[in-house]
Amino acid sequence: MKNAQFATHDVLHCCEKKLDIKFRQGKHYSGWFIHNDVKIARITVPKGRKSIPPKTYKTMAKQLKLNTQQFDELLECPLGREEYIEIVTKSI
Amino acid sequence: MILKNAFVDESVDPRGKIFQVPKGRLIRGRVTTSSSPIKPFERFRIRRLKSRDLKEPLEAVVERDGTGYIARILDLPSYGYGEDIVEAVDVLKEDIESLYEELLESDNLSQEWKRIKLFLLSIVSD
Repeated sequence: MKNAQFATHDVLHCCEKKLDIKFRQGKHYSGWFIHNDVKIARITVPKGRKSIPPKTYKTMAKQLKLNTQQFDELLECPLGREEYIEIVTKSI
Repeated sequence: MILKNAFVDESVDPRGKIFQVPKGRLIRGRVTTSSSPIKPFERFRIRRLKSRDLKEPLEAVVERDGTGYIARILDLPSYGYGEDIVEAVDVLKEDIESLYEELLESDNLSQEWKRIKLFLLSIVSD
């Protein structure tokens, strides 16, 4: 699990660019992953953390229906949008 | 008001929040200091969101996470993170309320989210 490597803005940036998630502002940022016009997953990202605490990291991964390794890959690069869609459509 | 080690229990008192601290005194609206560390795993019930009441309480749990705390609901994919427990719980409540409003706005939901929407409709008082 690579939670210490990533800041919350990395998660936001990745979700916006790769997954086309539009975030709303509140005490945390929250946004939906939409596929074929259907809301599939919702992620909440805390504000302003330089590294993400482990349970929060796991919870964010779970919100996106990923395990922590897949979430690491999503944030690093290997897991792209198409691979993510394949994983998430198998789980619903 | 020292809340850093407080365990928030909003169970019943309409006159004000009750804060309970380990080995501390139960006082409405304020807490006594406590030097006891918070237990790593605290369960509690949420009976009210930021601006809505709940017909039934939601079971939640708060845990230490890094230098802060994470508060989660057992029946929903929502959480709140904060520097202290009170902040984590506040953020969690806001997230649940936000989720509720977002689900009301939309019908294009997966089966899982339709179930969650029905669940929230049954317990949130408008």
